[in-house]
Amino acid sequence: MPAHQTLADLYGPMLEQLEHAMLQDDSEAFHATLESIRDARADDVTRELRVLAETLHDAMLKFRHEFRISDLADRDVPDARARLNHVMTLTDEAAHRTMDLVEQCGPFAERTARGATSLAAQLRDSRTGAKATHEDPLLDRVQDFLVAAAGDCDKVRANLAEVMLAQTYQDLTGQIIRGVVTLVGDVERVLGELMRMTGVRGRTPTAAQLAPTTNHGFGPAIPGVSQGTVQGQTDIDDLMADLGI
Amino acid sequence: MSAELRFLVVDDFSTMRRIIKNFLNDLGYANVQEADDGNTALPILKAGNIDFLITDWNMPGMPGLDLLKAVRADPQLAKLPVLLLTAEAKREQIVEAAAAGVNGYVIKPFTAQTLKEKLDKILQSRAAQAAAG
Repeated sequence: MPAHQTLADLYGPMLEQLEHAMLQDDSEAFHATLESIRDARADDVTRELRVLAETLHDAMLKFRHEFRISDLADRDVPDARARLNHVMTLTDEAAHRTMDLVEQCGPFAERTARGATSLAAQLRDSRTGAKATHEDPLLDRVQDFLVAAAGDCDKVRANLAEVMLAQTYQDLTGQIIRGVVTLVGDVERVLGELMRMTGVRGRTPTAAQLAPTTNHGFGPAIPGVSQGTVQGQTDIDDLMADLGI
Repeated sequence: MSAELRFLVVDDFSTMRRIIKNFLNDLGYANVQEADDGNTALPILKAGNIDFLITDWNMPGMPGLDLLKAVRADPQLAKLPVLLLTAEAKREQIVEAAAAGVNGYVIKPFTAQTLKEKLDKILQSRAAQAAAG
């Protein structure tokens, strides 16, 4: 009911007619007035429904705008999944690289420890018993060094084994990230459903909406996601050279 | 003389700071301080005991670009060599960093050789400028 019209404004005259027809026992006039009242009520309901529909439409527009449903569903959430997958790839490559290097170093330490131990023993034997000669500080130091070297290499091998073991982070973090990727996928589906229910079509973000926040940075380049990135240090060096640096 | 250079390494990841510090130590630079953000780095720089700044870009408080601009805006720090060591790879960012006065830009992941080359290049350029008076 429009705010400026009261019940008396809307229904007063018809109720007076109804009462008059009733008192006159005028059946035709009475029923005609009843139908008029019913029609007026139907108009009221239609008006209220229209206001409700407009309010709901405004609310959905506001919801879509304020919560960036379209941006989230079209860009941000899919990007999040791609970024998480890329994280897993990076940590996988790094862990493998670490283990490759550890495996290369192991035999070096092993060989050095064995050699140092053997030499120390030979030197000790050559300087004891019947073969003992005068004191030689240099040989003492060499002997001490060989013993220490063997011990150090044993520690190196032990630490390398620990380094190898520490790469389990990649497995643990990978499992956690995979769980998050699954969750993000579920969120993406829900957002898509929300968009369908609110009648929002996917839209491409405008250039202004994608305006870069270069100040705070975008993080590492993600293959297939990041745009306008260089391909490596050589590209950067070329660009810097062009800029006179 | 070069071994007495005093470095400030700024990165919000302690593992990265450790890697860079170890790298500098291996090159013979023993005097390396650390900060986890531009906000904590600035007071250290303003104290006047830093000869070379290596900074990340993407940090939660004050990003590296803002730190660079703050350094260049401060008359006492304006000439400080600054190397950006970052994963930020957009062309426009590199251009913006160059415009802001960065002396070198190394992208992560990096090799020890690349970092050393950029470091040496900046130091040699500074030495040449100093010699020219």
